[in-house]
Amino acid sequence: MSLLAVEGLNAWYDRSHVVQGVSFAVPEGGVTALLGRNGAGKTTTLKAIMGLVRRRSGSVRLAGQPVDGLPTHAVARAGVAYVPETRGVFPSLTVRENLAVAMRGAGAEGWTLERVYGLFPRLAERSESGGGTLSGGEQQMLVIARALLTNARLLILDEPTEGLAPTVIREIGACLATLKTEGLSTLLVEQNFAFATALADRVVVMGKGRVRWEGETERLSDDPAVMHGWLGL
Amino acid sequence: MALTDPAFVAIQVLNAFQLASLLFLLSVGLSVVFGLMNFINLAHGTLYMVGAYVGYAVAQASGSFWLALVLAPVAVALLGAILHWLLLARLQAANPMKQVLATFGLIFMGLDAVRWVWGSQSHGLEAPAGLDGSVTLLGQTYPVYRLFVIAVGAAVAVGLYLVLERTRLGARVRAGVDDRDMAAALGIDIGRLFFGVFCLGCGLAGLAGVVAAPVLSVYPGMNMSVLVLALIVVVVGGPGSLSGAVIGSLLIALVQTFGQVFAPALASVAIYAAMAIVLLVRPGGLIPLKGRS
Ligand SMILES: Nc1ncnc2c1ncn2[C@@H]1O[C@H](COP(=O)(O)OP(=O)(O)O)[C@@H](O)[C@H]1O
Ligand SMILES: [Mg+2]
Repeated sequence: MSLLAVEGLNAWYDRSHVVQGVSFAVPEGGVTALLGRNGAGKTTTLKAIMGLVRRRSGSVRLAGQPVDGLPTHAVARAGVAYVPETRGVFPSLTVRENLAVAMRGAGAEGWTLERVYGLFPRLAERSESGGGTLSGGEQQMLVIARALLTNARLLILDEPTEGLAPTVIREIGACLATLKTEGLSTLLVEQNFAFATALADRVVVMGKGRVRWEGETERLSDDPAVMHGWLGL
Repeated sequence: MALTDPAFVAIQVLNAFQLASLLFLLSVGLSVVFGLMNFINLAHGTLYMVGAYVGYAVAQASGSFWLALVLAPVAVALLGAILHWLLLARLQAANPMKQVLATFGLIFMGLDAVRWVWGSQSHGLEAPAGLDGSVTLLGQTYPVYRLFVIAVGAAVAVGLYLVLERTRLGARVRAGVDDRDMAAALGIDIGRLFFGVFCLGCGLAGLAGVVAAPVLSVYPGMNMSVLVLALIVVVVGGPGSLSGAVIGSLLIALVQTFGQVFAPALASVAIYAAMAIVLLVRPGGLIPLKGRS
């Protein structure tokens, strides 16, 4: 059974039908990349999964349990951690507080403050700094760390490399690779094709609101029509 | 009587602090609720009035001001919970105009309700034994009760500060004010948080009412002038923050108090002028919301 199963998902902004019957699956363990040009509907798909768009329909299941129709906080508690394109650092909270608000008092198993500080030592150094004072790279580390602290089963990242310097992108990539080897399941939306395909086992390609291709990462380059037509490569 | 007389100035500053204390108790709930939900409760002043009346009634029945001081905020917080269930939970998704109209309607229902129960005349509430005397400050006598009003506001401000800044629950409230959707995506139930903050804010409005009763009298319509001042405090301080409510309350109370002393005819104009100047210099208020543009 897949960890996340999306079937016939639709989402609208007012009357514009932005996500049109999207279906795909994210298996347990590993990284699934959701790729596509700007405006393809990737972000809206993620928001619809999280219950953050007002008008949506279709089925979303997490480990077989339906989560469509649940309010956002209930989707999160079911085991989904979502890091939006805008990152979503709370600027009036310190780094430590940004992390603390996400902790739900899980048992000894799972993520702790020490463990995320171990993964991102930079955050430990800046733990008392205001969220609004962080650099782009520090912000991205903070929101990934915060997502991990919810002990989610599925991590959803929307363009984590956007606007970051190459060295920081490498750092984030190394961290996501580590998390992958530890068995974390990730759904990664990216514009950075090389970054995404280096991490992902599977790729879902979206174009104009629909899924245009789905399969193993190695098979993607066999399909020039998809590469050119829907990814512009 | 002028600014050159330090004792006179000190007394006026104390009067301003007393008004600031009441404005703070009223505006902090309005402000944080607005920051969290973009929701404007125009009936907030009505809850203040209800707090004063319930305090008056409890004190009449029991003979104890202290019992009134405890029960009135609790009663008003419960009333807030009922309002939330009946009305506000449904209005959150509605447009702001509907919120304004519905809570505006509550103002008139509140006025009629207190007139019906307690009549149109004004009532007085005695300061309790121990707080009903005066002290001499810089050669002037000053009512002890007014110092008590200042102390209540300061104690509530410190208590709220500790909860908001030093607990995880407080950090969650601030996170919700910064970015409601992001807080929800981390599993924080914003609806429940809002309900709690709303009821607490209502309780503090009730506390303001019962604390104000021995200073100002209790009458139908006592909420109106104070609602306008509290709204100005929220705008001037910047919605959603405790420090904004504290600073806004102090500023507006000082302008109001010294305006009344030096140019009574211009006092209310001075308040609007202060608001205009603040908004010209800092459109988001003195402490603008960090999460929003
Ligand atoms: N808040 C919004 N209101 C209206 N239209 C939107 C909004 N956000 C995105 N859109 C539109 O929806 C389409 C899909 O956008 P999005 O999901 O952000 O795509 P992607 O993440 O793949 O770049 C685009 O045409 C975009 O202009
Ligand atoms: Mg996007």
